[in-house]
Amino acid sequence: MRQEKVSERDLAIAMLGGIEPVASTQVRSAPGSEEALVVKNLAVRDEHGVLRVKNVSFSVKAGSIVGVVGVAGNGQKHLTDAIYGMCSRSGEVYVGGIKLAPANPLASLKLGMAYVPEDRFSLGLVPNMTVLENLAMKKIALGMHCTGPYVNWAAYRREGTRNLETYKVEGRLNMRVGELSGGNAQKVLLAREFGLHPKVLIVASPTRGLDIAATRSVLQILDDMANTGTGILVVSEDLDEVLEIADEVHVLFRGEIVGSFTRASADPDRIGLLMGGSRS
Amino acid sequence: MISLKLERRPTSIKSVYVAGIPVVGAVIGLLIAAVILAVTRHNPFSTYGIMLQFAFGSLRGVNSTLVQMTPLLLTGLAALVAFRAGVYNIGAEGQLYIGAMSASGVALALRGQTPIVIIPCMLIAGALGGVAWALIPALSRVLYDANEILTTLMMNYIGGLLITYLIFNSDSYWRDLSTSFARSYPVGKTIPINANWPALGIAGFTLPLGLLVGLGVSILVMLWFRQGRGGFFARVFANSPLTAQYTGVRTKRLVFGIFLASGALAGIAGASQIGDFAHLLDPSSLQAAGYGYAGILVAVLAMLNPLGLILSSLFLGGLTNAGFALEGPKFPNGTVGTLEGIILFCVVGMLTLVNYRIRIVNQARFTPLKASKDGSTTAGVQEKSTFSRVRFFSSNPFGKRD
Amino acid sequence: MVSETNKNGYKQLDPGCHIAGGVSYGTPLFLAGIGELLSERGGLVNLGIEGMMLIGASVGFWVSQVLTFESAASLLVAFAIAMIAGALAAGLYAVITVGLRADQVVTGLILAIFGGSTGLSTYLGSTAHLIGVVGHHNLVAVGLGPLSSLPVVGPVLFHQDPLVYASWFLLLVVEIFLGYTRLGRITLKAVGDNPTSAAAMGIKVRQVRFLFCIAGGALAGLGGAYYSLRLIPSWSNGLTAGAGWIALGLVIVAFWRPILLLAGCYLFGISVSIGSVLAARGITLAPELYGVLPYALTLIVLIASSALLKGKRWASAPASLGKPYEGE
Repeated sequence: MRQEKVSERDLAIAMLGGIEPVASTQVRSAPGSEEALVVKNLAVRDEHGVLRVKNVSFSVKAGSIVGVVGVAGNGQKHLTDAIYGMCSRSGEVYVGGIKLAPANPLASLKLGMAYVPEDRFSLGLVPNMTVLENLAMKKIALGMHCTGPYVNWAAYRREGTRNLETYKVEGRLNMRVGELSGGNAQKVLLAREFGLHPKVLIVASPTRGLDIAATRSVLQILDDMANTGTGILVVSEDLDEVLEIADEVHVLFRGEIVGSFTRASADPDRIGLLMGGSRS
Repeated sequence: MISLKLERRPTSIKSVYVAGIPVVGAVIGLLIAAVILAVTRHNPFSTYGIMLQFAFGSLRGVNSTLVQMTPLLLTGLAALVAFRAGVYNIGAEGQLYIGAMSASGVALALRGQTPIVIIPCMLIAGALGGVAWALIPALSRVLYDANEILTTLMMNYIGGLLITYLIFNSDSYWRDLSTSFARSYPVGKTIPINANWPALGIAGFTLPLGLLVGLGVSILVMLWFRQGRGGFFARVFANSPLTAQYTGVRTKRLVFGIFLASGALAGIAGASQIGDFAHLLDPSSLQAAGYGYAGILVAVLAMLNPLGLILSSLFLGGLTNAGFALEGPKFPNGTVGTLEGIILFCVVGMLTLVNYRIRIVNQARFTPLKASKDGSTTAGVQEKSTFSRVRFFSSNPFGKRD
Repeated sequence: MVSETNKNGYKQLDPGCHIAGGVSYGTPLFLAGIGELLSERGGLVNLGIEGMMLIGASVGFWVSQVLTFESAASLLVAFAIAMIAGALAAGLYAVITVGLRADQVVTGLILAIFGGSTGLSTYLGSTAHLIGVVGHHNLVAVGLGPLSSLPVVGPVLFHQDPLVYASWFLLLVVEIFLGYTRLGRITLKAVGDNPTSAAAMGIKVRQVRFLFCIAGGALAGLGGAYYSLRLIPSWSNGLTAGAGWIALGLVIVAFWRPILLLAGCYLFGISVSIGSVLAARGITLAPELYGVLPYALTLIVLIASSALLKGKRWASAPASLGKPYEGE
């Protein structure tokens, strides 16, 4: 291939042997239904007391994908961590209409919130533990397949095998998660989170560090998830990937939402400018 | 230039080999100690021979080894349970003292009751004593993130002074004031005969009740970590406290519960000292023995494995037994600690091999990249995703936790 | 591992000036503490201070018994060799933790036992027949001329033994070192907070950690020798009675700042010598009560400082403390 004639897309097609657009151009199954996630006046301070998220409000309808884009360092991590409950916050969060207590991951889990964090190996997964254990973690915390202190690992093994097949993860159940590639680890994370049948799934930087094939897989998985009725919140730095699957996009700058767009009105140039801080 | 390099293993070591590591380490330690013995004009063979004979050679030897093993197994369990969850409870020593204090107090108070009543009460009292002594460090860790290494350490000293006070500088309930001799030379009150703990006699071996309790708990602990829900959480937490929190584990409750459980075990060790062996509160010998600290070493030797703990406490018990027998005119005091230190240093050093392997690296003269023996090039620092079969304390004890 | 505080120690100090006594009691804590502070700033937490101090104490005492020069020279040599002994012990620890990437907490504990009252120091004491023997050379307080007759300040500041004065000089040196030299201000801080970045900057992380760990050991040995050659002064098993552990706590309570460490050590020393003062005034309480006071005080300060200063940046430890350094 000669360089001046080839576009990035052509290159990708050549690498993968064919590329399909993520099927998000299809109409979403049930837009306009209940609000999976409602965030009102969210404010988050970091451990030094500095205000990192200021007065953020938005909502995610069931079955739709909402994107929040911003350059790294403008509060995304604090936003997602706070909504899920990894740090304290002020403001209100509702999941499926029910108010969520702050800074309590277990409560978030119980209400049906799932979270795929940006730090896959330091927060989302335990690299030293097996794929099976990582997949089962949250469900064990919720008490599923457990009678008292006894854990029914056989049931988790069955589930785990099914998950590996469905998500086409290259790996075995008794492999250490640390030995998986970034893409496969992300699939394990998604498998686990989605296995909770959550009302809302929060994903931060879903395709960071992944190769092209994995990126397509992940975006497709997210789209499929939305089609089953889960509300998805994607927080990312990568405008292109968000625009591929999101129905609505908000721009986060210095902890505040400075612009909101629907899929139809999304203009990458304008969004880019807002991400950079211009106020037009 | 050829040099040895330690590099991270890309795949985990086979489980079979893992068990062998402390053994090899111990052997190397014994070899080094043998060299030192030879240098100081002691015959290592005869020395080890005497020690082996003393510890395991006769029925009486084995039984006295079991006597040493009992507290080590229990405090070893206390350390194991805590350390496997990332909780550095160094306070088993103090928790043992207070457990001994409560157990003997209860035994004295229940004078006249039948053994069926007294002995379980002593066990419970011992456990509660250990829990009570672990309470302050546990609370300050959970509420304020205070470093438990230091808080438990301080509690050790306070506990030691407390029991010393009870016997040596007061007329407390624990003190025997019945004879004029006892009034001049402080000693603790002997517990009633009904409070003496039974021992199981099998084929000549005497297994004290404390030892049986320890063996039973070891198996329970093993099952709990492998199968149990809480044990699973503890493992997740020890690997990554942040991930445990993210997973929905109630980390504060976990840490608190494990801390107290560890204290309870150390307290039972103290109760066993009263019920099985001393039959009175003897602060000087308890403090001299240092079972609480030795328990940590026993746990390390066993690589925090409950079944391994049984073996390592047996080994260290035999070593201590034989060492004390050895100490006399030919072998001065301090032999035991020095010997134990050498062996443990070697074991701890060997543990590296769980996560690292030794590579012979041939640094070619003019190339900037390093080439290893099989021709592949290594450059730069390994990626951050880490694996290790056994990581004791992955969390930073001096930083933010929970 | 615990032995009773040697009651003879009280007699050496003028009971009327318990502050002066406190300074003296606090000095070995400060010496060991500043060593540990340096080691910890480099990222290595050495729990074996107690072992190193006891090794220094026994070695120092032994050397001073053996030497027959006049006191000043003998003592100088004795202290020097005690420092070397401490450095060697720390070297062993460093090889295992830095070289073999072993866990620092466990290795430190082993060191404490290895050198402690059931281990090497006792072994040496028994072999060299040091127990209960009268020391040939002792360090004594030296008055600095007319200054020592000043009303309150005099006895406290100007009537101490040379090692106390040396410790003040040491404080000055360390403060200057940590604040103004490249090694102290940048290199050490980099290694302590983020060894990976330090390595990327070209710093030899392992060597730095090694160096400061050994320095810590030397100072611990010096502190230990202070007990056997000045404070008590004689040898018995487990002489330091937990001083190493206390120094460990004081370093943290001082937030890794040398000046605060000095203050803490002196306060602690004062609380120890209060017992003798009250006894001299006719108030006799159980000795255990005085014994408890220092530890209880440390405990309270530890918990209070954690409670009040949770998460504040200036109060936090070197970030890599306790973590093994991976990578090349």
